[in-house]
Amino acid sequence: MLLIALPIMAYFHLFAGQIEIGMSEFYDAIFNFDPVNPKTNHLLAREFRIPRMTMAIIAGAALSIAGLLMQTLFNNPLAGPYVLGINSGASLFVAFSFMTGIPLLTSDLGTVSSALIGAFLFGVLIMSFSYKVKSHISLLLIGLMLGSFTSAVVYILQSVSSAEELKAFTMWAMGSLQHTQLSELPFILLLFIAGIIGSLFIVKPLNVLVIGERDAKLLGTNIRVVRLIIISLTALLTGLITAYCGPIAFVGLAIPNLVKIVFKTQKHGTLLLASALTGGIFLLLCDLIIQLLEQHINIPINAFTSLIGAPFVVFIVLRRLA
Amino acid sequence: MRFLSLFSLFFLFSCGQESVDTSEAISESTGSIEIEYAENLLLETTDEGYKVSILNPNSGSIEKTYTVKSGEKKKIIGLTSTLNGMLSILGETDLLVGVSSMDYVYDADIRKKFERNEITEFGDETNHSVEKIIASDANTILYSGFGDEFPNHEKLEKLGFSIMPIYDWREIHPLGKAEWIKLVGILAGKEKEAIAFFEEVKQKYEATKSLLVDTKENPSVISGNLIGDIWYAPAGESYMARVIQDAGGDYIYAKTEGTGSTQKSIEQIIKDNRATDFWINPGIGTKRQIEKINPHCKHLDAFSNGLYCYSPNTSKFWERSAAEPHLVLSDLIHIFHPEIEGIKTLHFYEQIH
Repeated sequence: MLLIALPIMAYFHLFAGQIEIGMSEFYDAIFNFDPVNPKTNHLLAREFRIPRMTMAIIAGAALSIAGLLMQTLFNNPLAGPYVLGINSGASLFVAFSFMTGIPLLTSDLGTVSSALIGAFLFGVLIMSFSYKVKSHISLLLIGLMLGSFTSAVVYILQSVSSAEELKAFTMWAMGSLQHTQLSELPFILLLFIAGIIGSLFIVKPLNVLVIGERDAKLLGTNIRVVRLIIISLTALLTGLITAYCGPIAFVGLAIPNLVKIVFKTQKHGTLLLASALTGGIFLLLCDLIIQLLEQHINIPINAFTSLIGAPFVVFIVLRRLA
Repeated sequence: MRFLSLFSLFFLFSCGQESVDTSEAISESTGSIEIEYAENLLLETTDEGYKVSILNPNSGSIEKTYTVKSGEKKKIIGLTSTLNGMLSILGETDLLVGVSSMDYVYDADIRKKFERNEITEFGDETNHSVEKIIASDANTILYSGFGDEFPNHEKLEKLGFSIMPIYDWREIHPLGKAEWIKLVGILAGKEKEAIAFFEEVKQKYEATKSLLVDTKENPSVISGNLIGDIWYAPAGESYMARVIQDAGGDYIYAKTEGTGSTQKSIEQIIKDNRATDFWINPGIGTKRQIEKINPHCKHLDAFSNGLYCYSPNTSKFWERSAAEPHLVLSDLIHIFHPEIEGIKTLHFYEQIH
């Protein structure tokens, strides 16, 4: 079902937008593209529509997988890269990279590296807190406090940065799926596929972790190594998306929960694939609605996912209480 | 110390009463000062001096009215760059008690006064310390009016402060912005000089515009940049659209309605502007930073060698361009029509590399 829904949604997404681009133009844009003097519609198809659609799928899938990994690691359905401060870590380091004014750090590679390092360090930090804190709620509160702390630091950085650095960072923080260029897609795909394959390699330990770390240890799982792999994969997937699309909230939290409700399974092979597909479909849908509303109102992707994701999280909490 | 503070508060309050701006306190008008272009400002003469009315740009009705005695020199906290620039043009920066932030100040005289602690930073209109304002020597606050009301305006008015929203930025005609110098002239006791300066600017604007009489072809122009996923370009009836047209530019969105901005998707911008000759006002001073927020900008031909902005001189632009629109016009004519010989240099704009 999801395997059918994804290409259908991708098709609608590809043909949405204020400029009408036909199927044959897409074909020519891919197979008969004139790089010296391209036709405008070929350029729009190749440099705008295809990268935007691809990024929506990748971002939705990557954040959903990262969310699932965090939920399993912390055995907490309300865990996710955004709530636990992993996004905040990536954002903080990207803010540093934007506002230092050092060309190496402000380059694309610098931004990606900063996001990955920030996400990893904050992942390790939240993991170290999880050793001390047993309560799920306390860990979420720590994650929220990390988010508040980084927001404060970012705010201070903004106040001392130049107007142009501030502008560049603010634009990035609004989040967008359409800033990615076709030439960047191979690198992004490479890291994304590495993240997916890495996650599939740890399906067994993930399945065991569901019964609790103590029992998992008794079954011979090397918890320390598994934790490190999960944090690294989460950092890779979250940092990658944060670097290219800005912070996107709630996808990582909401989608795995939705998948668990629908599929009613704890098998991580199924959950990983279903989360990736659902995440891709969800972000395509969000971006499609944004494009349809574009003529009337400009909604950043981050705001739109929060608009849908936040009520869904409240629903999950209420469902658990019931 | 506390006694002194209370005493100064009382002193401020009692002195301020004379210039409290209630309708009861406004004198009868005996005549008016001609306002030709500004749509949000009315100036009238009274037996004692002047009656200043600020019109709400949205409703067109009078929002606030003030009286100023003839020859009276106000002590001003200037939270709007353009009017600080006008004070400087009239040689009255001594009246300036404070600014929002020195980051936005270009004027060398104001900067020197700040170094000598004669001018203080008060923060912007939404983020300032009321106590700092009360403790200052000021009796007049000029602010941009971006928000609804100046925070704590009622308390400050009771203490004798005149708080004036300055809507020069909502003027559509370039000379409309410049005409606000007449208000600054009244506040600085230099109304005649201000009127004379404006008349000179008016003549210079028309003279600069007349340099275009022999031009045959107008280059195409786009303005603005992406904010998030949307490109905000000046609407067809806006100030910038007008200056571009006055400067002999064929503004791509000249036919759009409105005096603010028009919103376009980046796809629409690429479709409409791949071959556009000039791209002005991207809001950022280097190509590298423009590419950072707008990676697709390289598909616009103008990005290669038709990109101009005032960003390298942002503070100078905001301080001076409103009062001297002929210099903005001169810059744009020089950019769009380099063949015209009468203009040699750029005042605000620079080519972006």
